[in-house]
Amino acid sequence: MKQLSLTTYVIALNNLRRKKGRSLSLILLSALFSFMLFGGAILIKSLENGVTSLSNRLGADIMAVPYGYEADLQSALLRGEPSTFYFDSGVTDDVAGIEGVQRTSPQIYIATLRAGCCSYPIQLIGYDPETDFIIQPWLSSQVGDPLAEGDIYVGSSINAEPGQMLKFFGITFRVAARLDKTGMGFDTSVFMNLDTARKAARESERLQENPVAQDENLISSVMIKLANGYDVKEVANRILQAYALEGVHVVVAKNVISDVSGSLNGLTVYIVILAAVLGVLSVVVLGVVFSVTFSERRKEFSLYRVLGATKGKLAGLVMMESVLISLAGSLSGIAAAALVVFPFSTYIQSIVNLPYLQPSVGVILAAAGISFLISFLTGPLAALCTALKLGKFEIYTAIRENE
Amino acid sequence: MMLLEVDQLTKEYRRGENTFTAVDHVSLSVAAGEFISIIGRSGSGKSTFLNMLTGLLKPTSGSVFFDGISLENLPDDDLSRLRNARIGYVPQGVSALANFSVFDNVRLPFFLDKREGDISGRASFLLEEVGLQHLADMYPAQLSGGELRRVFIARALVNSPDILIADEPTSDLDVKSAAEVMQLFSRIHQTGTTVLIVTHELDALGFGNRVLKMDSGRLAECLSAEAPFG
Amino acid sequence: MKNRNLKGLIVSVWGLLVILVPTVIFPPCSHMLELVDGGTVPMKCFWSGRAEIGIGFLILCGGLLLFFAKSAETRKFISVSTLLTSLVGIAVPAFLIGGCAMETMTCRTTTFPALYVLHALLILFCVVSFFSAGEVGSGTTKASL
Ligand SMILES: Nc1ncnc2c1ncn2[C@@H]1O[C@H](COP(=O)(O)OP(=O)(O)OP(=O)(O)O)[C@@H](O)[C@H]1O
Ligand SMILES: [Mg+2]
Repeated sequence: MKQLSLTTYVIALNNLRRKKGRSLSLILLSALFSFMLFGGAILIKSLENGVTSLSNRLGADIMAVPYGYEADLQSALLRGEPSTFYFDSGVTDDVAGIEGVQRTSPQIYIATLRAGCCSYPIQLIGYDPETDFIIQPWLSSQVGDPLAEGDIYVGSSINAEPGQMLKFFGITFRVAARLDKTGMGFDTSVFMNLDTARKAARESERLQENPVAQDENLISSVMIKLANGYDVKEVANRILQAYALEGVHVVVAKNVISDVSGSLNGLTVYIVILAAVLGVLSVVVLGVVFSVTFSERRKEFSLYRVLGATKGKLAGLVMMESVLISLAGSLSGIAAAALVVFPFSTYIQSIVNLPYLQPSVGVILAAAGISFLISFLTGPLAALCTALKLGKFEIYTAIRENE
Repeated sequence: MMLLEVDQLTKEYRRGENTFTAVDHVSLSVAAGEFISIIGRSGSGKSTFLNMLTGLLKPTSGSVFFDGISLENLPDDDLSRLRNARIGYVPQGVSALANFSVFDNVRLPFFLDKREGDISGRASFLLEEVGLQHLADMYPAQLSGGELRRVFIARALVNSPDILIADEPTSDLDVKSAAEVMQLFSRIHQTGTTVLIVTHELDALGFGNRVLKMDSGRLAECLSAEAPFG
Repeated sequence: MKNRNLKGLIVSVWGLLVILVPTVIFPPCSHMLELVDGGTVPMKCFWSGRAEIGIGFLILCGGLLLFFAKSAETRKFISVSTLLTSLVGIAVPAFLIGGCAMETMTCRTTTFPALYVLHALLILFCVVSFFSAGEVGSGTTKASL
């Protein structure tokens, strides 16, 4: 039988295998660190992406909504939580008359109790293709023609192929396109033109009362774009001064975005601190364990020296052990993080409750590479101190230990 | 030229305020092919002496020449290689690497320096020589004291050293096992390897062409077999 | 405990986990689908979950068989059949039965991903177990470190 050469690698591997408990706990520690690094990096990147997507897709500067429904609009935008609120469609023209307002476009929101596909409330968003400047700009990159009556666009979270028929409130809609992932409320929304939306509202009367069914002149919000050079705050104030008494309130897009990035920053700091603590912990613990086991293993190490190993060979052996631990730990930690972060991304999004959009494959690979490198280096770094001490002890006294 | 030339070798240990001379101006010449036994009471400085011979312990004064090379001025790496290639040392007590099988324990010294080739054949041969071929796959914890001693001797021989140095290889062995180990040294000596052992006075009887006695750090030649008891 | 016993135990625990995911750990969406005639039926994801209970049971049995199997050939066979069972375990929620059309539904956010991860790991484990079963015909597996 051909015997394996006892290279530094084989010796180190053997030493680790024969001390399974110790090796596995060190590997676990290292894995925890790389799990945190990679998982945290993907989480932060996804949230950053979500905010970017939010500010890109939220083409309006100001959104006018009925008084008292500001928060509802935000949760509809950010999380797709269906909400229903209305005011008179005249607001569109009213607001258009305010100084500094360049464009306005009305939208209608209708919440379904459940969609035909599943018992899950969905936000139907009716928009006006003629005046719209919010939805179509990022739709047009994906779909050609404007929406015809009875056609819908579905958010990326709704599993429907173009051409497929979907049923809401007993009406059958034709899916014209499925939109790219945005990481925000749009993913669980269905888009249609105003007429289609009103028809849906009328049909929904059978299941639940809907004011739009009675009054053709109701809308939910007005998207407002400012002319160049006007201050958002000023214009928002002007709108409030003029129409607050009529129940019109405003949501400033910039504030929504900065709110989101605010909570994102909080989360990022939290993750970074956690990763840093784990990193320091893992260097310190690995370092302590290496140096403690070093004194425990003084006799063993001195035996290698008695048998003729140079100091360098011995240091190499200790470094190799730490490298193997670090390698196994870092790789399994990253693999474990990948098994959590990617399959459960929607779940994570629902927990953090913020716009969440996974970065591209390139970014993911880069994050994996960097996390691996950082986590991998902790092992050898922790062992360095021990490896350097190896040259200094007296072999003669060490071999007499445990006699 | 002598294989081993020891001149006025001295080791002083600190004992609190005082210094204690464990090895006291010892001189010794060992020619290639000799079989030397050193006897002496516990604490007489035998192990200290052997550790200086193998370069594991720095002498306070005096010198050791191995095949004309002074150990004193030898860089540590060269000293390690010299020990690895040319000196087979069996330290006092249990010196097993517990994580390795008997077979790998024997093979290990071969791999501690850069070498080409396969040592498995020689390792098997040596294990057979010491009568342990059947235990090759066992781990040290599974072996008896006498079997372990024989493993250490096989391990010391794996790189075909010029000299085999063993520190009390027969201590805490029963009379029969001790005799077996001594016979093993005798056979090794007959193959041309120089042998230097520290041993119990009784075990040394009838073995070796030179018997030396260590007493309070001083080494003296015993002229007759009766002398050890005198 | 012997290495091969440990492998059987791991597979059994895995089977148990596959059973527990749709029942206890991450149950699929609980809503009933309302029919036009007013009756209710459970949604697709419910049936996927049910099927996984059966699949988990098969895996658990595979693990128990692996626990007792000694010969390399038998162990290889059990590894292969467990691997195939796991593939079915992925196919059921993925397309054989499926689940909710909405990505944000419980079945799509937790139940199915958890099952995919479990089955993927088990498939990997079966491959390793297949190749480490030893030489066919050698009777018992070779003792490893
Ligand atoms: N590191 C040390 N520091 C101080 N004194 C020491 C040290 N090592 C050995 N000694 C002392 O030196 C003397 C010789 O020790 P050594 O181990 O060489 O004896 P020995 O002849 O091998 O004895 P034994 O037969 O019991 O092994 C002893 O008295 C011991 O106390
Ligand atoms: Mg001694």
